Amino acid sequence: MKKAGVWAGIITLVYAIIIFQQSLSLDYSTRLGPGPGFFPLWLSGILIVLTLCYIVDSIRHDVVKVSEILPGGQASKNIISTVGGLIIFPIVVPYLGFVVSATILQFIMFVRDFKWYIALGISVAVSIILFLVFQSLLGVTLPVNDFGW
Amino acid sequence: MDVFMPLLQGFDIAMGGWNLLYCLLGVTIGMLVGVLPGLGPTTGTALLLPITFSMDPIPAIIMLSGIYYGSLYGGTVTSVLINTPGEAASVTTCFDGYPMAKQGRAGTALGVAGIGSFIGGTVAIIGLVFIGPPLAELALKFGPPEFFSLMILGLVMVVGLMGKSIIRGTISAIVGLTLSLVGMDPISGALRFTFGELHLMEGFDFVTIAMGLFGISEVLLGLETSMHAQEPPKVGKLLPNKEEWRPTMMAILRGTGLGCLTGLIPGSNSVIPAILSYTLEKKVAKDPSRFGKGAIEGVAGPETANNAYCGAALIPLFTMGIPSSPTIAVLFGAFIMHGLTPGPALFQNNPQFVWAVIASMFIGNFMLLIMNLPMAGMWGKVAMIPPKILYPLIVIISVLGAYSVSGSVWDIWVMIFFGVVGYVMKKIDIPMAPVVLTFVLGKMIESSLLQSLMYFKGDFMGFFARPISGVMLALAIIIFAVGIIASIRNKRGMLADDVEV
Repeated sequence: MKKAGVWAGIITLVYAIIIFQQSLSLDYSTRLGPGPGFFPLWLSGILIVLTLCYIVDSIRHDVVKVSEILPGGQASKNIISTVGGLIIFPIVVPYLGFVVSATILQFIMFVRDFKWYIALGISVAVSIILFLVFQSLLGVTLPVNDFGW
Repeated sequence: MDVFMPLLQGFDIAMGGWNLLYCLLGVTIGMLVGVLPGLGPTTGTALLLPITFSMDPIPAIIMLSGIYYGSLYGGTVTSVLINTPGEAASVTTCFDGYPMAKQGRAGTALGVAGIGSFIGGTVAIIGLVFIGPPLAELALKFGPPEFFSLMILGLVMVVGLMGKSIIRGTISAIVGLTLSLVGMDPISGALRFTFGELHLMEGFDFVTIAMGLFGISEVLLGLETSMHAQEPPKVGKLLPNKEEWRPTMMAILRGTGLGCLTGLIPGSNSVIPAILSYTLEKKVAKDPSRFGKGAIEGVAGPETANNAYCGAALIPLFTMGIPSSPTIAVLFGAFIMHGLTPGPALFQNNPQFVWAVIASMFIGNFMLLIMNLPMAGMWGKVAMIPPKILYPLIVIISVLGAYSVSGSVWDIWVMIFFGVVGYVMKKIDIPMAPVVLTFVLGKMIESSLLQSLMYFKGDFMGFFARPISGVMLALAIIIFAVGIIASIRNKRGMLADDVEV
């Protein structure tokens, strides 16, 4: 089971089955005609058939291996740290506010290619500029900490 | 013709107030997006969509469409100067543009590309001016069955033309459709697929999905390869030699025709007319061996074609409400976000908006011509911004954009999720464009289907009893069947992929 297509097919199949099962709990038809369950039931039914075809096709022909999805070496570190930074942001932003959280996210990305103090400097500067532009100029209310940033 | 008065009024609005500035801002950002490798028109428009939240509809769409057509101009600069296409439609420009630059003729390559782009883009918009209103009037006579059939035809063309496998394309399209159904059903009021999550009651937001699929996934892919910027060569003389004018203008004319025609076909993208034009130029040339070594027609034709495509692709959006490519789908999302419904009623209900946007495109194309001819060298330097600075900026702007959708971190999570999904989809070669196209059309497809079935009293064959919807559905079935046959024979390699991103 090293073929990536097979795994993608299985995940899509599970998704399709969940939608299908949920659609069954919605009305298929109403007094006026088709109900809220009509369209999703058909769609998920077709999706189940297609994903099964896709899984079979992937078993026979797919050449993309699971190991090829994440490249090795530096590239893999870059991707993992970026996704990690992205995940940290929504977790900490309600407590630390936008400026600090954005600084952390960018620092994680910049520090790979710059000295730590330069990375920190750019991250702080960009975060403050964006905070001012979005909050003041564009009128977007951003999450802030107890100090108001 | 009765299009002149509204068009003049459109010019009046487009040139008044802040609109001219937004047009300039849009085309400048478009140029930047086009010039910077790793950022294409879809990513650019999706990333900047949230910035327009607080704007009025007219300046917002003027700016976003400026980004769209501006990026196609921008992509040329890097193709010619550093042999790196800034966006996919400019790949063909590298073939002859870069050899021209090496011969010291970078300026001429950029010059003919700029002139061609201007002519192609302007002719396509003139097409929109004249074809738009009558086509919209015709579409106004469409009922739900015709609209349903039209959308199905458009989607089948997208699935049929995109990616290497029709199964993967269809799966992608259906997943997009099911995602659009999450939330409250507008007809019955029933909650669907919310799993008790309050945020899902209003469904997924288009902006977060588009930014995830196109913005974040592009960054993740870009992080795999380290690109090194190289010093661009000198630009030099801008205009072609005297004897080159005739072949150049002929290539521009052919490119305009090809681009305009391809723009009308849903499922196409700006790469197809560029490749078609390059092939055509090579075929009609007296000495095809010059191609690849700096043939001026090889730059003029494709560059004209992709810009003509760009204008023409707006015709199905303005007249039928059908987005034909991922970037147009983002524009479609922007229309909806600003309370406008793309489609035939747009010309009737919001004439000021339509004509102001169309007029702004004439102005924007002219601005781009000026930006490209004398200032080409400057844009070449912009291309040297390294990805190590660019990518963190894209990421933080995406996060900000997602947050501003509803002022909640929920949307950031959704964006991250779709970013990772988009990255994996690209890796395993599942096209992303159908997800976005069906997502924006999902609710309309469902309501037109349900309304039609109510009208036909549940009889699906009713669609075939009406001539227009019958013909369109039959055409959709034929295209789908041809796609399956091509898939089985494994001859889909040459067809378009997710290239416009």
